[in-house]
Amino acid sequence: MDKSFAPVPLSRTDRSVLGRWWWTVDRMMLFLVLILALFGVAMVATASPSVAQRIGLEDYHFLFRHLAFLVVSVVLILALSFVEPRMILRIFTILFILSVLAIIAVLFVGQEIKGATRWVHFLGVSVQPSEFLKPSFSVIAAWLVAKQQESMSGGGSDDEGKIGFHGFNITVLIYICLIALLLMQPDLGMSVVLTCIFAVQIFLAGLRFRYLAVLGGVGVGGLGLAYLFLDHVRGRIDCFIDPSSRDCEQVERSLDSFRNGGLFGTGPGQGEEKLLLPDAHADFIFSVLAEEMGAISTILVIGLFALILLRGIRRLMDNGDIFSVLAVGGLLTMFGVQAIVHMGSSVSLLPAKGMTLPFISYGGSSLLSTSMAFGIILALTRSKNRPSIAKYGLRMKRSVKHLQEEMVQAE
Amino acid sequence: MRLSFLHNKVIRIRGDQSASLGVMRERLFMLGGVFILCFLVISVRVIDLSLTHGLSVTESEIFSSHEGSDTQKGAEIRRGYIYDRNGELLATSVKVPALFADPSLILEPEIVAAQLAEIFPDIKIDEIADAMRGTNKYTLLVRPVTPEQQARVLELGQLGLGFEYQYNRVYPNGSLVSHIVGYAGKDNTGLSGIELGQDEILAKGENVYLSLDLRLQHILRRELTKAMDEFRAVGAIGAILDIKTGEVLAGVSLPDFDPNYLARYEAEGEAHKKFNQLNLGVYELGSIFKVFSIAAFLDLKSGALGQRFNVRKPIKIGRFRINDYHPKKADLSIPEIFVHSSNIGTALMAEELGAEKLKGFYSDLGLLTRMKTEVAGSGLPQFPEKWPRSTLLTVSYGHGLSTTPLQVLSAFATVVNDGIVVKPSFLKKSKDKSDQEEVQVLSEVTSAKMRKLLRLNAIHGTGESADVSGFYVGGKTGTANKYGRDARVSSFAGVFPAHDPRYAIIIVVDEPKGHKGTYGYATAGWVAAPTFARVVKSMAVVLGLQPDGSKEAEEFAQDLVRYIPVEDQKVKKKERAQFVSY
Repeated sequence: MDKSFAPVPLSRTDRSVLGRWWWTVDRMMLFLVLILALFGVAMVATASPSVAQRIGLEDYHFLFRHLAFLVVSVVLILALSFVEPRMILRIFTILFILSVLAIIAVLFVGQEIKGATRWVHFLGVSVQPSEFLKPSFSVIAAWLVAKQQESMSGGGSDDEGKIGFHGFNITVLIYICLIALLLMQPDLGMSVVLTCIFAVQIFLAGLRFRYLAVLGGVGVGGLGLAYLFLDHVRGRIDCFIDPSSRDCEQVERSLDSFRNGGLFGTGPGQGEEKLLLPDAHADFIFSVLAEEMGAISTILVIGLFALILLRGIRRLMDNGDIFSVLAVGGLLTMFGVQAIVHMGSSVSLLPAKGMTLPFISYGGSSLLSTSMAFGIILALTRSKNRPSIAKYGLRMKRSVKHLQEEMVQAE
Repeated sequence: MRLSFLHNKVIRIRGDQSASLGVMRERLFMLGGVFILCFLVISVRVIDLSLTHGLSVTESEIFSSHEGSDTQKGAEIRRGYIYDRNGELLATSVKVPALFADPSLILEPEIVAAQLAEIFPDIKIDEIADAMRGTNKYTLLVRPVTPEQQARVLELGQLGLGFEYQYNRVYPNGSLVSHIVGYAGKDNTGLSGIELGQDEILAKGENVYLSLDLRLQHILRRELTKAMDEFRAVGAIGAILDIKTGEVLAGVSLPDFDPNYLARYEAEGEAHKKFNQLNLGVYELGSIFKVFSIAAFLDLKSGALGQRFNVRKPIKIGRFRINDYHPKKADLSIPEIFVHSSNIGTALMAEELGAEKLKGFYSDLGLLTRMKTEVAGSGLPQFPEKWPRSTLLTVSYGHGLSTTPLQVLSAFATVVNDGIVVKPSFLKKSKDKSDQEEVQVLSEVTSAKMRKLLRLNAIHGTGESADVSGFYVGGKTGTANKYGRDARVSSFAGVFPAHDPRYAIIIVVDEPKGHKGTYGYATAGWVAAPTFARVVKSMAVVLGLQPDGSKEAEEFAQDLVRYIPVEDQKVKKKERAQFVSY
């Protein structure tokens, strides 16, 4: 980091709150996220004026709002990164309950926008409560599953082992209720993200592969049902399978933007497809990026996303707290899945799905929720959070390779 | 399998939190792997799209798009030019801007269409708006576009409008050669005239040199226009033929059109201007046919010019009678019959000849079959299938038989060309290419007799006003009534110089009306013959022909003058004009 940001007061012996934060927080992650957010500002600046013009707003309407939300977001990330894990749990339990209530309220008083009821007016801002469900669910589920893991006494197989706390079952129940609520809006994208978060969490918690296979089957079955019963989903999947079968303008234009861009792009602001892509500033910002900045820059951005994910995962490797690993694992998944679905849709590797690209797309609720996620990630991956370095220190630092060697010996 | 084994092992020692964390680490590792894999796949796809345009996936989409038409454009061959015999440009291809739209970049088709309608008054707003509403990347809107229109379109600043440059056919001489050259469509394929007849050659990019001489074309068109105006005719047709080579030096059909502005002729009442009457129209040309039937009689019956026929009484065929316009109270010799254009005399000769022989002779002259030329399309002669006596007798003086004017000119040229068939050609012939097969359909002796008769007619007959001093014109008038109407077709077929024929010309004026200057007459002697003379005079100047004062030329046909009674030789012009047969 910049030296000017670390003046004398932040020496290694500085025991103040700020000093401890500086030495324990994942500064690299913070740095990468800020770069990504800056990139996002540039993209919203170039992609949103055409959208604003089209719906009769001032050219920089979206940019100014995005900047305002970004300031709030950065403050949120930094503030959350100071918070103790226990407090994180409390805060997000409350947020979770509020979100669920809001989602239920949305069903009755929500604004219908583009065929789905997802938004509610709150203090003069339209808020999408389901966005805040993602980070809070991630925290709640992680805590419940971790609680079960920790409550189990040693010895015996999982079949006969005593389970002191049925956290897992409770989580499954909550998950099913949430999916039901989300599909009533309907919000398939959010359901997919939530499913992925939960799947990764129980995967990390050590569920057998056969259960994961069952879960995967249920997921595919669910998508199949969505195809049969949700018209817009069927349209998009038909487009994906055979672009000539329906009017698949979005997909074609998105692909054209990659073709137009070539390796070096048309230059910032020079893109043409953004004039025609719906929600170019949100659901198709990756296409705008590709057209204006070119394939090389696009791949650098993809690399930045990969780097953030890998950095987060690497940091978890050294973490000994099950709750932290599960929560952060879920949040990283939320971030990664959104990025992959967004990018995959715009290059037609996946059916078109309106999903925002974290930190790049315009979208207040989305930006705030992603910022919350990274605030939590920073808070839970602070190095001081290792439980009892004296006790676990050496073993925690073992790599997977060591563990595998140990297993082979045991055999 | 190894993973599940590992997993079971770990679960068995569960309870120890560290082991549980071990599973987590392993699975975190796998999770990271899955993410990296996804991002790698997306990166490869991004490269695929930007470098190869995603051909592997959306091949059809690419080929149907704009770039597909780019390659077609590159392959477009410039259509060959058309020149006259002296290298004057008659048809050329010029690159002109064409306005196209990229509908995927047009946000408001209705507004853009309204803007375009102000610049292009001809277009229909609805059609243009519909064309711009598609999802394709290329729709041709207007072509050609003038530079001024192009500038105004550019000022609109519409992203989805663009120009591409395409060849457009331009005819520098406008309506002067319209029917012969014809025209090509917007897709640069020939639709009529030489453009259609020689389409294969032109499409290959090769140039075509026509037999036409633009100067003679102008003279002919000018004189025909004058005649049309003077006699308030509905149409006029003419052609100049080089007897020695068969090349058509000029061909005019009035009214004509300007092929540069074809759209103007779509309107009702205008379409007929595009009709080529010279090659496609069939007409009863009347007494000109006496040239053919008398030639047939002289050739096949070896008849002497001095033999006489009784023309005192009309010939009766059932209810129908053949009359002469000016009945003679004497038996007439063949020169008299020809000069007075006696229907009765000609019919008597045809009767002596018989239907089979006359039909055969006409057929040899090419009057009964469709005459194909390099110009696309030709009219089919109309005549009765069977020739009973009534048909035989009327056909002999040109009634009941319709042919194209060009066909008649060709037969006329054959008769004066020592009987060697003259096949009209609209393409310039190279001089060394004279190995063409020569077909002789009547004897040189008959041909010489016919030339003398034609010359005699221009000295003491109905063709007098066609003569030009020093050029020894020979020719025959023809005036035919249009069926069921008080309207006629005046025509004149002539040759000069008569003693050594070089040029044959036909003049046809459709429905002329007499005026004071012609004492109310609109017969061929007053209408077509003077036009012929004017054409010959101008032609001689342009081609640099010297008036011939040789003894041979002066004395040609003088031996026939003795057949003409002295009192007839002194008949005044006004009266002679009445010698026009029907």
